[in-house]
Amino acid sequence: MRIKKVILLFLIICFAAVNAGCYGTYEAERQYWLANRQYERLLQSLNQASDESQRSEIIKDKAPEVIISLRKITINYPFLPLSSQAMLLIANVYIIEARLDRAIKEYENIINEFPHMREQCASAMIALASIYKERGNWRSAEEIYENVISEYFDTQIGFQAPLLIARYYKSRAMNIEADKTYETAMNLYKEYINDNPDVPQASIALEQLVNCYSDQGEWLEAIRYLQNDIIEDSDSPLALQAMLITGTIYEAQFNSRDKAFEIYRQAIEKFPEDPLVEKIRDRLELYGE
Amino acid sequence: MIKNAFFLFLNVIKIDLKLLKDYPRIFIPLTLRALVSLGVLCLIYISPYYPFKKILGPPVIEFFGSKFLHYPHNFTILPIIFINIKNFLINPLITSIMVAVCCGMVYDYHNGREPKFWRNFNKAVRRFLPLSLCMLFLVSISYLSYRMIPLLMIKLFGEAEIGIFMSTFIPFFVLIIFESLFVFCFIAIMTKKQNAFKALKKSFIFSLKLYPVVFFLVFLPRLLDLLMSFLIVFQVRISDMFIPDIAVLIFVLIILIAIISDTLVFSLIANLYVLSADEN
Repeated sequence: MRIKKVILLFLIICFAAVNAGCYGTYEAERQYWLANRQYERLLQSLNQASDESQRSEIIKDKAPEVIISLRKITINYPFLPLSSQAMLLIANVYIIEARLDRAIKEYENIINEFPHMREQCASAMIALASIYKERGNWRSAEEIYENVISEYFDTQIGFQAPLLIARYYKSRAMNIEADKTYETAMNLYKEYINDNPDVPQASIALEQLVNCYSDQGEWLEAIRYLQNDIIEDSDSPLALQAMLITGTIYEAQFNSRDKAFEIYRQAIEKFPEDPLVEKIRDRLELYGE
Repeated sequence: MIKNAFFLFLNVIKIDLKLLKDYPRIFIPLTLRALVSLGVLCLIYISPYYPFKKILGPPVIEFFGSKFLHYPHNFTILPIIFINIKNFLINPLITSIMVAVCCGMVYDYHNGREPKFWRNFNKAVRRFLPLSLCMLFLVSISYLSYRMIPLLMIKLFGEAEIGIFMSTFIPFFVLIIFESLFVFCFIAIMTKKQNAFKALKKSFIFSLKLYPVVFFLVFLPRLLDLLMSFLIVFQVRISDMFIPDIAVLIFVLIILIAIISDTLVFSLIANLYVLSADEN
């Protein structure tokens, strides 16, 4: 009899304990993970769809469920940062469903309700600008890109904004504007790298800067910048990244494997322990170097 | 000789099944151990939940990092934490006593007394130290074989499926071989009041005389544990198929199955001990 009571008490305590914590951050993380998996499965099914009708069928069947799962998070945990992440995914599903007005509203909610969530806000703004651009409202799009540059430039997505403006003008063959905006973008990236050479975001800025050179076909200028401003006398991780980019440019753009391998060897010598160097080492070994 | 051993094997199983049917209370000691294990599992599971995070979170952060208090990363360390707590806390402190109680109840039955839990529990608590040391000895063998042999298998077979199977099978067999040699120590402590070293020595000598019978009496119920070991090995894949929380259900199942396998092993061994002692 006593043992039965102990077992009953134990079960009650377990049940109460698990239920007591059901509305905390952890439960939000759990719900988000499950909803995010549904979202990923939706994308996977869409990628595997053989034709447009099958795609529409999948969207009709699965998209509303994904939105409901994600929406539960924004309703149950409105103040948690995960909510902004869930809202971003909801907006993405609206875009898949071609409900662009709903997506715009979702992005605006993120920007207004979560201004402190820098990455999410930058993502929402870039996505919003992209919708305006697609609708032919370049003025609004450019205004949003400018806002991203002034408020969220140092975020992973925010770094794209100057390049996206320049690429728009280039795609429209508006060469004077394109040159001007590429120059502005490159100056912004160079300034950021110069001021923050040791922060991880500098590597994203460097990638975007190289994209600017690449878009304009200025490969020699890119190499000159990388050699003189980043690699020379530096042993920062950014220097290693710059060496690898330089090597790749020599290989891919100038067909100069010797020059590339020379730079790779220098990188191995300078950063023998870095995991990035491992791949380069394997590559050199493959060519018997 | 082989015929006699076979008849002894069958006789022990027959008597044991009748005993467990007549006195299902023999399952009580290891059921209580299971409740403690479930409690520990529950504590590990709820450690990322507020307000338990305040108390249970800091040790997790200290040993594994704050990442492991977040979903679903907490499920990657749940097996590690649970198995270590089971091996080094629950087994020496609780399982040692409960196994001895189970053996004592079987011994009582053969001596014409009613198998009573509390009487044997009091007796086992008084002999806690040797029981606990013997359990630690068995746990250490299990820990070493489950740590060292998989490493060796991975070196030999790499990440291939065969390596995974071998790293589960071989430690299991090594453990059964050693457990069969030293499994009598608990009943020896309960009946003869011996210290840990003498009990292990006596068990070793006693077991060698009847080794094939002892081996199979331990091996058969432990097959259930082997099945459960495969569940642990494939836990990541199972979690990927369903949800990470399934890891908790897997361990609940393991704990429940262990009630049956452990009760069978120790009641069979206690029966064999009493029957063989009678014959001698």
